[in-house]
Amino acid sequence: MDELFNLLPLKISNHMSEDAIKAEQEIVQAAKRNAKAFGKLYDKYFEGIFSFVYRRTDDEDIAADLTSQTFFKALQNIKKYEFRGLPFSAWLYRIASNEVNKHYRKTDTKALFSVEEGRVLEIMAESVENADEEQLQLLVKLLKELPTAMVEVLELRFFEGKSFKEIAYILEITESGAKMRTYRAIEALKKNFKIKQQENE
Amino acid sequence: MSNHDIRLRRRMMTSRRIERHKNYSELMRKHKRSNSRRLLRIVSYLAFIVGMMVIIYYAFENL
Repeated sequence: MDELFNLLPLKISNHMSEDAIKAEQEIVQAAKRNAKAFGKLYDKYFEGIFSFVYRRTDDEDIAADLTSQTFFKALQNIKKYEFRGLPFSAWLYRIASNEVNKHYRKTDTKALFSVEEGRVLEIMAESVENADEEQLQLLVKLLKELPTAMVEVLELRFFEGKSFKEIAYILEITESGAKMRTYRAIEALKKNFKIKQQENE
Repeated sequence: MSNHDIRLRRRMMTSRRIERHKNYSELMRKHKRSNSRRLLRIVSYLAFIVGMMVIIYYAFENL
């Protein structure tokens, strides 16, 4: 099997402009002064955080609990939040990622990545004319064989559309470390697919 | 050996379905309850310290 496989960034960009990030900071500052202002951030990011947690657990009830816990912790600790030039969501994803990891440690179960078939097909669509079941299963098999840390980075990069800087912040690693993990994962996939990667930052 | 599993999810989670799990008022209630408990802990701790100081003071007074 040597299919051409385009690693495309998300069609809908999740990247925020610097002006939007600064405008969002005003809401964050307001939320630091008054918890009621947190509602705007809750409304804006609930769906994204829920989807992220759901992809990492594949259980709607657990995802609802962990998402609720993520926002609760964010609200409790918002005064400690420091702006690092990234969207506020990066901090929420960091809390959510820690909550998910804590959940797996507590339940002593294997971590899970439940990837949307639609998104996988979207990634493959440009190059694989008939992305069939066999190819999907091969991709799943390859992803299973990769180290968890690499899959985490791939998920944030290609399913959440995060920049390397955000990924580094979320996973508490360096930006070069995030890039390295991505490239190593792609190298591993290259053994079975021809990878054509579109870069965006 | 990897320490994770990969599942291919056929069904997309819709915004409408996610919306059902949103409960901002419950989050605020939880936040207020937690703040009250935190305040109560601080007050109890201070009361304990003051109580101990009073006991020690009278213990030394009676020596």
